[in-house]
Amino acid sequence: MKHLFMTILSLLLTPSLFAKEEAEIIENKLLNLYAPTIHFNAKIWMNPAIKYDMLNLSISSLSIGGVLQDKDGDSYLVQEGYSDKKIKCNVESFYKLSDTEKIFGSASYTNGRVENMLWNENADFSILYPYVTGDSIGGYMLSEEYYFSGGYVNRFRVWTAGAEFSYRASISYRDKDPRPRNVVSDLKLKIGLSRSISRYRIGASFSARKYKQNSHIAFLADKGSVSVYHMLGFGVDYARFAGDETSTNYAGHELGGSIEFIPENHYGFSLSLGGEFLHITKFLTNLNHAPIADINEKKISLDASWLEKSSELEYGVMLHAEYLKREGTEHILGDPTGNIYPVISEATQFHSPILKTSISGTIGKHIPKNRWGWNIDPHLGYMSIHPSYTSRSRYMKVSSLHTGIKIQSLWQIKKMLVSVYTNVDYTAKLSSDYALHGLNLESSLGKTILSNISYLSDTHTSLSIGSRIDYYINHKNALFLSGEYIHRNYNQSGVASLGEINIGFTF
Amino acid sequence: MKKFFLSLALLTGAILFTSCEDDDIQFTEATLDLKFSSTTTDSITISSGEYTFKDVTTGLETKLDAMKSSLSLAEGTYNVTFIGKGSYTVASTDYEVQVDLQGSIQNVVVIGESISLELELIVIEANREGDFVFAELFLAGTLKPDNKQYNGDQYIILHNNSNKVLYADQLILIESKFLTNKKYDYTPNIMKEAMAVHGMFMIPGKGTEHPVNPGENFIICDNAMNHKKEANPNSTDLSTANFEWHSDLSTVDIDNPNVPNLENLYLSAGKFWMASKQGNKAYVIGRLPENMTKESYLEKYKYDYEYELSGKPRPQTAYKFPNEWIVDAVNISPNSTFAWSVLDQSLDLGYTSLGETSSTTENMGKAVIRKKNEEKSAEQGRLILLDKNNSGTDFNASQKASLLAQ
Repeated sequence: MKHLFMTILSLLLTPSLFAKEEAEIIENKLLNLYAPTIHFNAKIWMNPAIKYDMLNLSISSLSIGGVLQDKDGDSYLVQEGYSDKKIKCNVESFYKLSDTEKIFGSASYTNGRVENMLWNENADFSILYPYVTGDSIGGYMLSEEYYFSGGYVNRFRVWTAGAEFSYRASISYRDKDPRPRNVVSDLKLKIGLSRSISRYRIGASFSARKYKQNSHIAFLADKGSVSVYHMLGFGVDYARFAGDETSTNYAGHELGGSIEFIPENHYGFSLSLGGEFLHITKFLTNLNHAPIADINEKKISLDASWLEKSSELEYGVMLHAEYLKREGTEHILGDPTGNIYPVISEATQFHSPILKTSISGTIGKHIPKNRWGWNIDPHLGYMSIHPSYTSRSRYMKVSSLHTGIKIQSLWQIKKMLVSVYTNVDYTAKLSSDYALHGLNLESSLGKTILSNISYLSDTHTSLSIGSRIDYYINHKNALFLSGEYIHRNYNQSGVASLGEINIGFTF
Repeated sequence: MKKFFLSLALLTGAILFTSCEDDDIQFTEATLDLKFSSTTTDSITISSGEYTFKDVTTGLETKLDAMKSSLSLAEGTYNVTFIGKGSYTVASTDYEVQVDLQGSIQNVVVIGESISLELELIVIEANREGDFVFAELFLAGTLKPDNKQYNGDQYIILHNNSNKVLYADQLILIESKFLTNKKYDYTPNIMKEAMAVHGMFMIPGKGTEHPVNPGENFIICDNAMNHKKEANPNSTDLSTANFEWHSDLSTVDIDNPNVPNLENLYLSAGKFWMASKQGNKAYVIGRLPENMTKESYLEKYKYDYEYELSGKPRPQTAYKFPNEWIVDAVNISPNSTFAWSVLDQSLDLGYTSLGETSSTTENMGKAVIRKKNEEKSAEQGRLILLDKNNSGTDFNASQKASLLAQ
């Protein structure tokens, strides 16, 4: 994997290193990255055919960074633990091959350590929940992740066609009992098409994804093994296979599509409407790959924005709405014959609808004119989650309102471009309710569920400050240093703080 | 622009309310019928009882009174048990015999709109004569202070549950070949007539060398030594056990010359036997018939069978021990993963557990201990243990081993 990573990294850097002389200088390239047309409705650029218009220049960056996190309390999902340390190397490139062709790509390597995971020994909890394999011991999790992506887009007259792929491979493990070893491969492919109509561009994309995770938990200590459980949601487990069924695999796919609508000059009304359907099945490897549960998730999202500019200011408003419905279906297995468990029925027990809506705005003065720019981005949103487990009548219902503002300033100081920002967010619980019938709240599992409910329904404030300084080495290259500090204060679940620093090279 | 925002609002609304919850659980109407295993007891009247439907997927139990004959169940796989009481009148007399009634079916597939379940009941006379019974099985071993597993302190306590002196001589301790938490279709299926044997060990003696008084126990153990003093402070003193099982592998087994060894009649794999620490086998005690020598048994009772694994037949050879020679039997299985009974229902209707799962760490120090029959003990003035041929109700599962408390 490391050799492949280095090869892809070289390929990403090669076009830029041997780029022909262009009129663009690094200063202008970097200023372009701060433009609201890129950030305000970022979702629209997810279609590779639309991405053609995101930048009309070539830029690449190479960076290395680290994240340190500290917390006091339980302000995290217990099954995910909290990320204590992370180091990441990242290469990104957007390159204009010709007047009609552009390529883009990225490669990254992340090495991290997550602390205090409990009742989950898998990677990618957010993809697999609630069907993870867990135990009451848990602990830290070490992980390495390789990520590559690449895309090509071509414009011919009014049409633009593009394709993009990404591949993520990760291994996560613990070198102490219980010893999970999770190997993930996650491949995505997206194709997009757009057409210019009048002064607008209309696009559509189709995406497909193939996901796989092989997991095994080993116990090497003389003490022996503890029981592992195949969780079904809200503290329920697949009792029939509790104990020593330590090998599992997950396989699934995702299909998606989107349509986009964006002005050719990026100012005016833009819209992105997308939908995705994810299906993953969990298998017990040692029982002839008996399928024990299915995850089905439907997601639909809408991002509609309006962006304008005057001689002095740029301003806009955006509406975001997202509805996600996750359903978990348990397979009922019959009398085994020859260690083969036939599927005799199924029951959809787990339901988790999530609704998110928000309205956000931006107003700012772009930098080139005054050597000083600023923008203010307020937002107001609503979110509700209502996961439930049918037959046990267990559920959680939380709704919250969040509001916040981001203030950013940008200066050109001699050979430097300095960005400073602060972000204040406040999330207020509007309502919360739960029922955990039959769950022993004093047990490890009961405490886990209660801790998660408390965290997800907690009113909290978040404050972040950050800065990025780019130093122009010459007219083609720049060095940058960026840092961010985030502090979150929860009413019940304690405090958490995170510091991130990155150093890199842009060209 | 107004039209546009109106359309947008409608679209957003459509997105927000496109879902409705449907609880996709199918239910099946199950009708129940009871029949008796013996044709001579057709006139039995059921006076009380209860069905238990254990959903093997979730472990949840649904109870139903014996007087009802149908219920609605969520589709699934169930272990169904009936335990009740009844009576019958002996032909041409007025003598009424009280009986215990029990029956079970494992892995019943409940799907579709309705199913019909027929449960065969075993009839046990309440006042039958007693024999030796398992009083306690401690198989999980202990943990040393340095958190390492300690082996060699497994023990089994047998109890004279009769009202007369019984002799332990030539009593045979047997471990089942098949696992209670992994089911295969073994052919030929001999369960109705015999059990498949993994290992069998005979108590020495010529017939009257080891008397056991009514209500008294004797101990069979792995290594008859003072484990607590000599090896593991978390263990117990077994130096005064009555018998020990011993292999010839002196490097892993310690022989106490003062405690008689069981005679190894048969062991299907290797020379060293340790009872299943995972608690996923059945144990029985039995006797060869009077005219049967161990040599003739070993000659005549081979069991050739096969089962399918990964699509391929796996021929195997073991021994079989006829059900009618069995004195007492107990199925042991991790509670959550019980797959089937490896004994005929007439020997043991249920199962008992060292723990919820087969985790050795969690089950350390735990045993299954037979319950006291309070009523009969008080009535007859000696310790009488519960023996209804149902280890699920006869035993207290997952208990701290009694000798570890000493």
